[in-house]
Amino acid sequence: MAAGEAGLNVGDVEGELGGTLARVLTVLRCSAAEPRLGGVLFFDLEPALLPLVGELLADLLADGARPRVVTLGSWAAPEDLWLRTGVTGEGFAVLPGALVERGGAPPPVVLVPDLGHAPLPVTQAAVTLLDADAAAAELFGHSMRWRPRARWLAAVGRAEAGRLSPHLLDRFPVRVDAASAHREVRAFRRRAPVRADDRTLLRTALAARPAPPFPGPPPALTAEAAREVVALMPSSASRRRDLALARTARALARVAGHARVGRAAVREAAALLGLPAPPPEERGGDTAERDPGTPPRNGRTPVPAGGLESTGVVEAAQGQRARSVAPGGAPVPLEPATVRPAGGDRGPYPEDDPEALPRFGSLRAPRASSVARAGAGPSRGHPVGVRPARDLRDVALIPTLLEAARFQRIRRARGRRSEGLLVNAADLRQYRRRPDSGRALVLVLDHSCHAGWDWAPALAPHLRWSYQHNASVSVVEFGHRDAADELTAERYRVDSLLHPRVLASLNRPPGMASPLAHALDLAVQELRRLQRNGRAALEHALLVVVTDGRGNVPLNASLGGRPPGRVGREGVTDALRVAAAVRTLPRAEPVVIAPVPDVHPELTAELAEALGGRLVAASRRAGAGERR
Amino acid sequence: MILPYSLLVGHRELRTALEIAYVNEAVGGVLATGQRGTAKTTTVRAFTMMTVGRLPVTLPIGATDDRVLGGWQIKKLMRGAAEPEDGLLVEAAKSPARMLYVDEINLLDDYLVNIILDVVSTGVLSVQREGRAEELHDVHFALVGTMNPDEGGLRPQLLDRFGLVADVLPEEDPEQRRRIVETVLRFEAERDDPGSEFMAEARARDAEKKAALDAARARLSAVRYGTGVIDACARVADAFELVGHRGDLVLGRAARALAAIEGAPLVDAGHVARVAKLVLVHRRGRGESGTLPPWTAEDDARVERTLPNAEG
Repeated sequence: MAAGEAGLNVGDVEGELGGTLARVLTVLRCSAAEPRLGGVLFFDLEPALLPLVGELLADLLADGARPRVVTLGSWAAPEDLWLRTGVTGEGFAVLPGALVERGGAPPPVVLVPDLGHAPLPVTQAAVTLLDADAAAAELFGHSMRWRPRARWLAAVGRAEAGRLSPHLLDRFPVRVDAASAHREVRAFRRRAPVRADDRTLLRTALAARPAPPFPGPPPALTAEAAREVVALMPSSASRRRDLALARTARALARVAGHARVGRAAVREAAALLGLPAPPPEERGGDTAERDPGTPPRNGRTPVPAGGLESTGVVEAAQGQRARSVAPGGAPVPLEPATVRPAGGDRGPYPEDDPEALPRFGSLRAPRASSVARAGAGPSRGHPVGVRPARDLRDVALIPTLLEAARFQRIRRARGRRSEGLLVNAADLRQYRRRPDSGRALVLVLDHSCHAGWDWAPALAPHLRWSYQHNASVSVVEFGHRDAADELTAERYRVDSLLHPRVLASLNRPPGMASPLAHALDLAVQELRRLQRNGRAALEHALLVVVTDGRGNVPLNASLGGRPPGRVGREGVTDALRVAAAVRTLPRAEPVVIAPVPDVHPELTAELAEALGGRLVAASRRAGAGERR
Repeated sequence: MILPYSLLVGHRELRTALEIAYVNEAVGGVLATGQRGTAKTTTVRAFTMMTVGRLPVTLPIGATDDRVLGGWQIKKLMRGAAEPEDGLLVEAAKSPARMLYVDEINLLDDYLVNIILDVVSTGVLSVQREGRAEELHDVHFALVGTMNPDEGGLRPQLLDRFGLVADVLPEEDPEQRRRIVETVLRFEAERDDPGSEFMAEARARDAEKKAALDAARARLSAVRYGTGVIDACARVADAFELVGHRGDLVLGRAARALAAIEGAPLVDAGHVARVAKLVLVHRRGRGESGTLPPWTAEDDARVERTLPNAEG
């Protein structure tokens, strides 16, 4: 990168940077210096700035050849990412997709302008590739395996981050609050001594400090730095964050030209990532980084017994790294981490906030297209065969080629070409797929509360909906006298509401035990199964829970198959805890149908609230008794 | 380059499970369940790198049917030449590790799960699709999977196919966390340095471990069951109300592998007790949901109550 580009003075330019911009540039340096740093997530970054930031990172990574900058927007499809069809001089060719890396080329820079609305293939790719030792793509007769080195930069609105999958967010351990970056860029541009575009100005600012590739090995992490990492990062967090903090500290030490990574670098890294500052009394001196010019010693330092678990630092010869080795004494016990959680309103990890409500299944959504949902295409359900294609949707490639292969001799005799496969429109084959309505009814029936009231009127609209939409039906039932095991709920699936087994389930004699928590656990798993099942998109799942909310069997008693001792409220508490998972399921509509008046009407209200659904109260028959 | 196996910090349960499954293939596969960021995948990869010197055959998210079951070489097909290509299931069976690794196995499409289940259960892969009609026998491999239970459970039928289930807990102990940070950063700094003593020592320890496991594998058939141990396995299975006999068998096989690893000539009650959790944790539940009930002190006590008579 050319320092002093466009006649700018590097020192002057760097001094003009705002706090956010300076942080962004520092993070880019760290990302370039540390291949395994992980994804960088910018909160509230102006969308137009991400390409600029990506180009700057590509500048830093350029080592002879310039890295590819790949932008993955809402349009990205699997065929763009892993395997694409290209046009060559001689026809079509199948080529590696944008995320497949080739040896010898610099690592690509991958930009996700809106992680909150990134399509499934992109989020899956991020989970698969970021911080992975190895990657593989196995599609359509192609097998590609490589070592991922791409740097990922993504942006998301802070308010949306808590709704993303924690799995996905875990792959982006480096966070930067960039809400004011665009204002700072404007101000920076105004103050610049000469007219230049933003990229030129920022490249000049980047050049103010050393950038990769750095000569020699990276600085060694001191034992005190490792302790500081542990002290500053909450223990409840993923260990990936520990490593990201340590790697950021190492990158900062490297940029600063230090031979070792000490506490100060870790604290600087923690501040860069927006972690809460340590208590003031712990702000101690740190000499680790101040003596890079320590006189060299000859040779390599042998690793003593137990060196892999050791602490301490031995300085190395100039040009070699200092090495962590055992101090020879007893291990020093560490104080438990006392910092406050890193979630909260402005913290770097909003997913840690107890109020965060990540959507389940965001990494495993169905694949059917909206075209198919509208009924215009055949691509629903699993393939059950092929047929001649009526249009170009859902073409079955291999059957098409095989069909064409049958006629090659004839076509060659008639045709102009003697090489390659000659394919006609009549060869095109399309998948025949199993019909799937995309709708499901999950019916939870608590027979233990059935005495004295008729649930049919309240249930009827939901059963009608199921029939009209040809929904698949899953029934979870418990608390009846015919149950094989009264401690557990039972689940079964039928293709249609008209199956005789459903009618039998609506008319069972009530029993005593009420494993409501287990029934809800089965229902949650059933909803999850429906949402990840095959190509067919689940458009709507109706969860109807008929109960009085008085669960009297704890979940572990059901799972373990052992009668509980004293139960108390445990059965109810477990049910509410399990029910809360339904709130995170997309396209699921919960409804609780409960008898009124009842002894504890608050229980069904609590259940409906936990599920995030509606409560429908059904009157008891006059003179009907309470549940026995 | 993957972090050498000997440099892994913690994960004792998962490592024990992988080692047992390596020494005695008849135990079946291993499932690692745990939260994100607990290095489950790294552990599995490090283990196969140590034992066979290469990564396991991996079924990635989004793999297409033809790559799982087997299909045609598309490039050649487009040139008019039909040449079949093995799918990942056959590739796994032919691989040195004889292992199919599935990351996030609980997120896998039911359709693919059913295919895998069929092949793991029967050893037969029937391909009747897209112009291929063949039935391959002896397609045997260990299924090794990882999953985060927060994302949903695994179907009981599939759970039962895993010989052992290891619960991978996040390391929260500050000393262990410090060791992880130090070890990983040092590995990253020195892995490409041919003169690194740190890496040389790790490789030597890996080689030593592999030799020990291979020796255990070789002496497995010479390890005998102590008097009453087989009955004890059946009693433990009975105490946990296991359905079928797979649990009893795996309990005995896993205990035998552990005895071989420890160099013991006889399998005793202690070996059974030490593998009980790995074998039973996913088999004792009654629920269809796949939610695993936590292994408690009461479960340990039940194993102990059942086992004292094993010697007699």
